[in-house]
Amino acid sequence: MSKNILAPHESLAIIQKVVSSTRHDYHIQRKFYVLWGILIAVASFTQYAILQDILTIPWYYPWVLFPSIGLVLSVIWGYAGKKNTLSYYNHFVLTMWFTLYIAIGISLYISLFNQTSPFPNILVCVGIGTSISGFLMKNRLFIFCGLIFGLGAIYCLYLPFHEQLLLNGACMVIGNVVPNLFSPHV
Amino acid sequence: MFKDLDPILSSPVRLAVMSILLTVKHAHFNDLLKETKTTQGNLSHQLKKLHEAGYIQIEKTFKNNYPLTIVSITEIGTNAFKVYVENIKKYLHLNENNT
Repeated sequence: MSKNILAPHESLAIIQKVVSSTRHDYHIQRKFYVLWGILIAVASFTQYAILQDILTIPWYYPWVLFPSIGLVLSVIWGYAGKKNTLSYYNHFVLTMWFTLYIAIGISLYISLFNQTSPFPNILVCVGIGTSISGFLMKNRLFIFCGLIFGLGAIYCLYLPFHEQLLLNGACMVIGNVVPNLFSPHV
Repeated sequence: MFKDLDPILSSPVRLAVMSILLTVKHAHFNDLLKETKTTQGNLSHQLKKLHEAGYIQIEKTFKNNYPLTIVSITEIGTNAFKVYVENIKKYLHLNENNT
């Protein structure tokens, strides 16, 4: 770019060119979604193993251990990610998922308090986040995965608790981990 | 010649930097370098001018022991950019209906 003083039409041309060509997918932090998808899936499968007497640890251990790992790694990665270019789009998506994970945490607490299954609520929260991400990215795979979570949440209601664990884990892997690992747009 | 146009923004690199910063929360120096296709020295010089005008905020830190410069637009910068665009429209006789 030259160092001349710009004429108005040149200025307008530069603004239009830069805004249309600037990448809006700067450093998308897909590792957050993969991490949480894997951790929730592993926690679900571990609790299933506990209920089936395959593992002999208290039932709540997976739900304390794995989210704690996720929280620590998210804080570390979040701090490191602050040192990269962050588009407003990504800022919105990260904030939305952060809010949804808080909603999931509260939902877990309420479910434990009421002694009900948290999985329909978890699947609805993750489904909402995945679908909105898909609409923002114009990525049909993610919109479809959001629907899978929604259907999983409804199907959960008709399953016994131990099978809900398997369904929750499977939905996390199919609807969250796999598309985040293999979709080029995320 | 174009006396209402902000001289700080009437430079290709500075205008490009401001246009990029409007679309991101904050930007890495190397990303600005790629997008503006200028030299490291020139970009540093132009960023300094924008910073002196209060249009941008510059945070210098380290990442993996390498120096890192993070740049973000300020409210003054955003307002100056808006005024600049409005003035361009006036010069080009553009209005909301035909832009």
